[in-house]
Amino acid sequence: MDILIAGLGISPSEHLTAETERCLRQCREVLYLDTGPVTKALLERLVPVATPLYAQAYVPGRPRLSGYHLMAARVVEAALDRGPVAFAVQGHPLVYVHAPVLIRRMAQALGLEVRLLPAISSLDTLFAELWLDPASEGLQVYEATDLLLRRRPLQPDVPALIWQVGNLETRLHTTRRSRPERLRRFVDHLAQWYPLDHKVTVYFSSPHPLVQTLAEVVALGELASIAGALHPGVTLYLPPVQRRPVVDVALLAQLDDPAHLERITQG
Amino acid sequence: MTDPDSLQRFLIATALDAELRQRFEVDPAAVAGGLSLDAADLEDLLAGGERALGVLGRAVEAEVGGAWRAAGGPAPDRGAGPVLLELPEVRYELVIRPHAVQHPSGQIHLSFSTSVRPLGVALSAPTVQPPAERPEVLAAAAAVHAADPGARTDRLLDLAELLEG
Repeated sequence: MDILIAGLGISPSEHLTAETERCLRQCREVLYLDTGPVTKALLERLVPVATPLYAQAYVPGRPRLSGYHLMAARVVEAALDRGPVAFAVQGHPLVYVHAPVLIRRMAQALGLEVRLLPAISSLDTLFAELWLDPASEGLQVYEATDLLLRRRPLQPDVPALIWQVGNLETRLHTTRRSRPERLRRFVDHLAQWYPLDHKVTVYFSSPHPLVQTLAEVVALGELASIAGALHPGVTLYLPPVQRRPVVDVALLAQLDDPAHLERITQG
Repeated sequence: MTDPDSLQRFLIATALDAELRQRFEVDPAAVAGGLSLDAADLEDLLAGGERALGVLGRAVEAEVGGAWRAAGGPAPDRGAGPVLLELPEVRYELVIRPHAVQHPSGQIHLSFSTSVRPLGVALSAPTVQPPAERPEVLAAAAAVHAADPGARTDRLLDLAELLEG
């Protein structure tokens, strides 16, 4: 292995898995993307060198995509010079993170071997903190700007998670707060399927044991009034407006029928 | 002292034998990983050991070699001498897990649990060229390798740009 791609979980001091810890110990350097207060110290306990990438990758006014290219170039360069190295990000390395995809493609072109490990994402923390089980009603997951670009339809009977509301309508990096007007097109789009008084949850998972999780409930029509609080880490949870009724009642009747079980199984 | 090659052959033959017998009882059609066999072949297969391996080899030749030739193969070159042709491989994953029990007398009883899984046959080239094999990507990758260590960043950014999308 030349490059390990790992996630630190949402709260690295609590979510780092035993597998990730073991694999990190085999690396000479870890390049990481996280601004948490304990992350550097945590990683230096496992790897001789821990190099932060956030500040050089995210430059206000510049495309976020060029930041992803820079991260990937830095990681691959380190692997060529002094591998094995690791690239560690907050959360899960393939949940709303683009650089690992690029690193993999570059590694293939350069003959380097990559290993990616699973980790706790904000999807997992959200499931736990909002008591959401996708088995019950299904789940819709969309990126906010992509939702508008493709005018994706929503199913109001299925729980929906909208990621990156704080990055709405731009691919340039900024730390400036959103104006209420930024939410207009977004709310108009959602209002095609959800009433404006539908209660939605503004969710941000705690990145540290001492920081509280944000889970604020607000009416969809009032979302613009808290635009300034919708930073890029925030996810919007839209619960179902109503439950979809069972249509196939004949199948429903068969679900607990032993004879039907006999017909659809063997052995 | 046991010859390592003989031991290896013995282990593979034993493993295949046990695995094939077990699979034949469950699903005779799948016993050779999807290869079609006649009744005589199946009998040899069930005999196990070297005969089973021979059947597998012939079946692979017929199925893979035949399909490969039917797909075109190379043009005959009657003027030249014999050449080694590249044939597709048939891949099986064979896992042999040894188990050892030592009795109070000091005697060690060795046994093996095995599994064999066909990994498929690739007869045709992929229709979509992987990004890493595009000529411009190969050139950019070569430029990265040729750059001095410590001065590779710009070349790597060029490569990242090419592989985007």
